[in-house]
Amino acid sequence: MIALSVNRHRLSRRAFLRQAALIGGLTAAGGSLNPLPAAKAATAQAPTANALLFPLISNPTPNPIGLPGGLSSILLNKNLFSQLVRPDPHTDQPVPDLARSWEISKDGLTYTFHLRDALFHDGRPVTAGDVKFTLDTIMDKKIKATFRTNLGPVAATTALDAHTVKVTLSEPYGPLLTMLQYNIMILPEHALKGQDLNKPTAFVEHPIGSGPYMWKEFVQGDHLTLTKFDKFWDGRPKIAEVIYEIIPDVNTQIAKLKAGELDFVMVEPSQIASLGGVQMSYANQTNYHYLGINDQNPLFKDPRVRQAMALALDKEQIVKTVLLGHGRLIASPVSPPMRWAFDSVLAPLPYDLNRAKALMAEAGAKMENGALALGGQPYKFKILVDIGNPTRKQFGLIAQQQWQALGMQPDMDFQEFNNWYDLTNNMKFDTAVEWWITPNDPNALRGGYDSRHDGTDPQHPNFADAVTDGLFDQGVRLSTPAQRKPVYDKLQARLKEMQPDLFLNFPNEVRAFSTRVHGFGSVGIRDALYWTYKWTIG
Amino acid sequence: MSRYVLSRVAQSLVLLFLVALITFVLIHLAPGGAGILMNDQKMTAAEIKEMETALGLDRPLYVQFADWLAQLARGNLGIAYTSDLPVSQMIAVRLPATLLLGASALLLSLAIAIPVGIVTAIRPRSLLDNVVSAASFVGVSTPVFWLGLMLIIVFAVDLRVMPAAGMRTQGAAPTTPDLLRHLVMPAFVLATAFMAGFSRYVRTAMIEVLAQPYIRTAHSKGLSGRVVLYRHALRNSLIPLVTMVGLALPLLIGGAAITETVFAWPGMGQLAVQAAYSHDYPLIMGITIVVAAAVIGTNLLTDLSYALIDPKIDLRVSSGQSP
Repeated sequence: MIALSVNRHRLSRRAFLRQAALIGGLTAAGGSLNPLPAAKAATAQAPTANALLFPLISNPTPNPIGLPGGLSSILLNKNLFSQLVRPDPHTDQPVPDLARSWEISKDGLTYTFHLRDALFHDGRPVTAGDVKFTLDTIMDKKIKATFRTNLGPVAATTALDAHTVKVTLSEPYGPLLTMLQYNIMILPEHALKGQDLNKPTAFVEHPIGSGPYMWKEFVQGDHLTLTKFDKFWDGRPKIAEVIYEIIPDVNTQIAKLKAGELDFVMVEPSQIASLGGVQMSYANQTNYHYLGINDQNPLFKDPRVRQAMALALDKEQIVKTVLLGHGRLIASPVSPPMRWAFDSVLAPLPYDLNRAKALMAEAGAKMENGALALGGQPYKFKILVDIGNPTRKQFGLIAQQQWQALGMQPDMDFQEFNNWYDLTNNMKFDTAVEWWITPNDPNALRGGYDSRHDGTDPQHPNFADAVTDGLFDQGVRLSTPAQRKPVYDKLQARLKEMQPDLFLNFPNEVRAFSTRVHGFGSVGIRDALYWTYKWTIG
Repeated sequence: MSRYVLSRVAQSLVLLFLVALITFVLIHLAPGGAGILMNDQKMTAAEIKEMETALGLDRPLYVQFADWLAQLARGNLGIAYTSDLPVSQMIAVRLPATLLLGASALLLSLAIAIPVGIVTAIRPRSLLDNVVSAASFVGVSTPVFWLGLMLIIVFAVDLRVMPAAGMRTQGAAPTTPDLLRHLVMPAFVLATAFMAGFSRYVRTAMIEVLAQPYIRTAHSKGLSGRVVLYRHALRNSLIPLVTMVGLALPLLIGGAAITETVFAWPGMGQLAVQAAYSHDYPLIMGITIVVAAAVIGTNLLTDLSYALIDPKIDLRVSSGQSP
C-alpha cells in the first residue's frame, strides 16, 4: 500500500542543513536590531490585493498521475483539479466533490458515483468518461502512477452514462472513499489523449482541470499564478488569484512572511518564537513520529524488549520540550485525525523506568561488563537520524540519553536525507527517528506493519505478527466505519502491545498565516487547500 | 594554427565526454536511488520496480548512457523527472537570471576592488591598508547564507526598505526598477565573496609593479604620479586580475547555488541544487553538460586568444611539434 509520505520535514531540511544553529540567534539579533518597532510605515512591498501568496520549496508540476515535483505539486494540484470526493475542511471525512452522491452495493464490491454538472477550464463538461480515463490510467501498470496501490482492488471502471460511473472491486475495500479523496484528481481525457502519460509535457505546460482555479502563468523557479475559474461548480472563488512563489529556503520564507511578502509558512515548533505579527495555527494531519526499530535484529526481536524501550522514554516530556506542547501522545500509529478509527480510550504506554527494567530482565537481558546485554550481545546500537531537522534531532538525543538509563549504549548516527532514506528503506539500521504521513485510513498503515506487505524483501519494520496481519485483513474487507471500528480497536491494542516501532507522538502541523487570510480551517494544509476558494483576504 | 585548433577542439570533446560519463556513474551510485523520486519510505520493491520500468531505469547503465548520448547528439537533453518538461527549456529559462546576477556581482566587485586595491597598494601597512585587510578577511570568511539572511532580516523585515527575496514583486507587472531593487542584495552578497579576493590581488600586483625599475624610470622622466600610477602601474598589475576574473566566469553560467537559494533567485545554481536533491537524472546530466561545455568552451577560447595576443606562447610547441 503506498501511503505517500511526501514529508513536510523536507521543507526545512535544506535550510537547516546549513542553518540549524543559526536561525534562533539570527532572528533574535534581527529583533534587537529593529529600529521601527511599532510603526513600520515604509513598507517595501504592499501585499498584493486579493491574491494569496503561497510558498513552495521547489517547482510544482501539474501531473497528478506521476506526481513529479512531490509535495510542491500536491499543494498546487488541489486548487487546479477536482476529485470525486474530497476531505471535509473540519472533519477530514469524505464529502462530495465532482460526485454529488454515491451508493455502495451490499457486498461492498460496487461503488456507483453520480456526477454533478461541472466544467473543465476549457469549457468542456466533466463526464463519466473522464473519471474512467483517470482511474484506468492510474491502474495501468505501464504508467508511473504514484497512488496506484492506494486504489488496491479496483478492477474496472465503467461509464454507465455521462453522469454515472461504476467502480468495481475485486474484493471489498473499506478505505476506497478515503483513498479517492487522497490526491486522485480527475483529468480531462480530451486534453491528455495521445500523449505519453509518463511524460505529458504538452499537458503540464497548459494544464486543464475542473478545480476552482485555472492556470495563468508559470515562470519556472520564480512563481506560478492561478486565477479564479468563474464557472467552478461551487461558485466563484473569493480570492482572485493564488500565486505560488518558489522559495527553496524556509528561513527566507519566514523572512518574507514577516516582511509582508507571503501569506503562509509551515514551520518547526522551535521557530514559533521568532514569528511575531502573524496568525499561528496548529492543525491536525495524519502523521506520527516514532522510533523505527529493526525487529529482525536479535537485540530487538522480543516484544518485551521493545515495550521496555518504549517505557523508558519520557514521551510526555518530549512533547512538552521538543514539540512545545503542539502534539499529543499516541498508543499506536492510528492518530486522532483518523477520527472514527482512532481509539481515544486506549492509553499510551507511560514513562515507567522500573517496569522497563523488569521487562528487560524478564526478556533475559542482564548487565555484563557495565553494559546491558542479551545472550552475550551488548545493547550497543545506533540511532539513525536525518541531519538538519531540529525536531527529530532532539527526539534522537533524548532517546539516546533515556535508553542509557536502561544500561544500553546507543550512539547517534546523523545522515544526509537521501542516505537516511536509503538506509531506512532497506532496513539497514538498528533504530531510527522516523515519521509517516498517511492517507486518513488505518488500512494505510499496512505498508508498515503487515508482514505480507512485500513478500520476501526487507521492508519496514521487519515486523511479522499473524494477529496483526489478520486484523488488517478483516478491517479492509468491511465497508462502513461502524463495521470496521471494532476491528481497528483491536489492531491498535495489538500494536501498542507489540510495539513494532516505538510510537512517540502525533505532532500538530505548525503553520503561520499572515493576519489578512481568513477561513483556512483546522485540517492539515494539504486538505485545507481543497477549500482555498472559500478563504478570504482582508 | 588550424591543426592546433582542431586538436584542442577534439581534446575538449573528449573532456566533455568524460565529464558526462563520470557524472552519469556518480549520480547512479548516490544513495537513495530513483526511489527518492517518490519520496515514500514504504514503497515496496515491486512498486519501485514498476516505477523504474516506466522510467526506463531498469535497463543496464551502459544502455542508459548510450541512449542519453544518442539523444544528446540530436540536441535532445531529455525530459526532467521532476517537471515533465524538456531539460533544455528548463535551463534556458534559468540562464538569464543567473547571468544577470553573476554579471552584476562581478562588475560590482571589480568597481570596488580595483580602487581599494590601488589605494592600499600606494600606502602599504598604513591604517587604511590595515582596515581594508581586516575587512577583506571578514568578507572572505563570512558565510554567504549568513550574510544573505542578515541583510534580509535588517533591510526587508525590520527596515522594510528592500524586498526580501525573489526577482520581482509578485502579482505586479514586472518592471526594470522593481527588478533592480530585487537584484541589489543578492548581487551585493555574491560580490562580497569576489571583492575581498580581487582587492587583495590588485594590491599585491600593484605593490610588485610599483617596485619595478620602469616605474622609477617613468618617475625620473618627470611624468606625473597620476600618469605613472594609472598608465604604467595599473595596466600591468591588472593582468593577474584578468586571470582571476576568468576563473570566476563559469560561475556566471553555473550560478551561485547558495546565494540563489537564500534569495529565491530563479537561476541555474538553485536549479542544480534541486535537481541533485531530487535525483532528477536527466536534469542533473543536462545542467552538467551545459555548464561543462561553457567552461571548456571559454577555456578553449581563452587559450586560442592568448596564442593570438601573446607572442611568448608558441603554438607549435603546445601542439606537440618540434620547432
